[in-house]
Amino acid sequence: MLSTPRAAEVRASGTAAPLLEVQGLTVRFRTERKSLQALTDIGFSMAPGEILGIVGESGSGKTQILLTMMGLLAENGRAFGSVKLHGEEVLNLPSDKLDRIRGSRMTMIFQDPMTSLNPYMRVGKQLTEVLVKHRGVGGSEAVRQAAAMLEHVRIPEAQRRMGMYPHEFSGGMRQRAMIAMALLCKPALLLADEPTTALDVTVQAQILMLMRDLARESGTSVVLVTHDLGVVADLCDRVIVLYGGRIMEDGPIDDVFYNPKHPYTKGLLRSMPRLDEKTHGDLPTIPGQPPVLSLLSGGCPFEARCELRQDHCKSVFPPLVRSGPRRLSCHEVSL
Amino acid sequence: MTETAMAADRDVAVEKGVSQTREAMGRLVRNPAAMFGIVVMVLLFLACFLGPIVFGLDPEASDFDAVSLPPTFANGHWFGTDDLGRDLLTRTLTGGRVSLLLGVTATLVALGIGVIYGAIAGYAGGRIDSLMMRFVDVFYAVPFIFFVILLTFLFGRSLLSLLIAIGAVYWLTIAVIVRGETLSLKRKEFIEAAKAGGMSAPAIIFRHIVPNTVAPVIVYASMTVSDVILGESLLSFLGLGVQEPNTSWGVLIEDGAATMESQWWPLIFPAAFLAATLFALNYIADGLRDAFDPKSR
Repeated sequence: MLSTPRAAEVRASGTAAPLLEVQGLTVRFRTERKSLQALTDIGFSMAPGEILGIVGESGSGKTQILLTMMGLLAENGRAFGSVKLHGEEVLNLPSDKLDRIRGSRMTMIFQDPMTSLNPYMRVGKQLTEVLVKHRGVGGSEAVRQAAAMLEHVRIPEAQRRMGMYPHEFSGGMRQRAMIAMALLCKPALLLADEPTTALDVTVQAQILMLMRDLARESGTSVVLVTHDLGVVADLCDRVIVLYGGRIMEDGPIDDVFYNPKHPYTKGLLRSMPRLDEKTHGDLPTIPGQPPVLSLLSGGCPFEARCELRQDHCKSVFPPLVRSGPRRLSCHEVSL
Repeated sequence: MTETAMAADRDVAVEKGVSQTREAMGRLVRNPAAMFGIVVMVLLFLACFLGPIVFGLDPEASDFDAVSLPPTFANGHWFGTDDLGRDLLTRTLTGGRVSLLLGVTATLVALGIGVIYGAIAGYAGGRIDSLMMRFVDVFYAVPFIFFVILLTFLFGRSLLSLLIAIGAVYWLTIAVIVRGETLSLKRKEFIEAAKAGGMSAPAIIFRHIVPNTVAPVIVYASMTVSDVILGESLLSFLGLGVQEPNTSWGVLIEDGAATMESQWWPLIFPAAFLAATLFALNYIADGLRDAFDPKSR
């Protein structure tokens, strides 16, 4: 396990100063009747060049982590805690300061490439806009760099495509253009929110590999949010399993995948179809439904669906216990 | 056109990239009714702005040998003359200048204010939005005629006060439309992406939001031009608009209506010009709506 190059890389870079440090991140939404807590006490740190996967079911708060970090929280949301990029607090910054960081030092790729580009602006213009703003490069130099980046994300005839509009691009090309736009300013941190969900499977794999290669080349750290465990296994160095807005399990990818500890992680991995399995029965599922946030009590959010549940699980939330590179939050299992 | 020339043409089109607006314009040009409307409007503009110069007639010159003359080709008064002996063809055309010019400029003024106002309100959201839209509601509640009387009282009866009055009324609807569009646009991912790219709020509003409202705005604007021309006619008809010796279609129709029991020509010609303009503009508006939303046809 420890001998895989990816794990070794993480160890090696783990000694460096953390690029990103998230502590006690809690997000509440004020709704008409009450306030909902979408994220509770999220904490993690990332080394430069690391690729972190965040997995969980719909509504587990995956996307909210990214949006909160980018300062794109919905108007009725409030964030508490701390998000430090290069040791500098970025959470709840005023928008003028945030505008200088966003796009240049951290940036985000969105889920749907179909709506992520302005339909009324030439792709080239949208790409150079970011460069001109953050790097202050002149028009023709920006065009050259943008075309080179499009070339880099393997868009054929990049120079010609610069003058085209998004509706003249295919879905895969648009997502590549989005990635090019995100990487153009060489950000230290790239947040990717299910960047390939809207694409078909063959394109998905290409785009993901491309993202990984580009991130490795430029030393960009990536947070990848997805519910596709296969993607995480292929791409990430480390994975955080999220449930009901809390971290359930966190650790190096191989440790978590080959030796899952948390009953929820085990359930997730069991419910993944495998090609090498001989049985042809029904795919195992986790019984029950994801929790309704407003109904959560102080206990473990997974309690109602957990096969190991005990009485105290309902009332006391298990602390997130660290052991080596792994963290786990469960009363009944320990690392 | 030969096969290769066509292929070359296609290549050139791809090379530049065709915007959705350009594609819509392509559809508009292929729409016969809309093209008819455009041709009529071009002819009307040419006639009104060049006609009087070409004919070399003075709209205020009276021909006292030919007072209240019915249309004849013999002495050159094709549309007849009014009770002061002024040539009605010339007056209809110069009146058209005022009507068309007012229609276009008032619409542009209304567009300018309405688009910016609506985009800012929609993008800002929350309390600013509520405040700005309540202000619009207040303006909506002021009756048009009352508003014009108030303005003419303040600024005197001039084309400018008429322009301000009409512009001040028509920007309201545009602001409401653009605000609605902005509310849905700002939830789109490309706006989030622009924010994630560190774009400032003004840059997002003017570079990403405003261009995306072009479809509903251009359709509404084409309808507003005819509304404004009609509004000007109404005000002139009521004696609140353009003053003698200047004229507009509304003024001419008012004069014609006063004498319509004895003379038909002072009413019919300006009325026909006004009707032709409104028809043409509505065809264009219809065509634009289809062009920007080809799926709804």
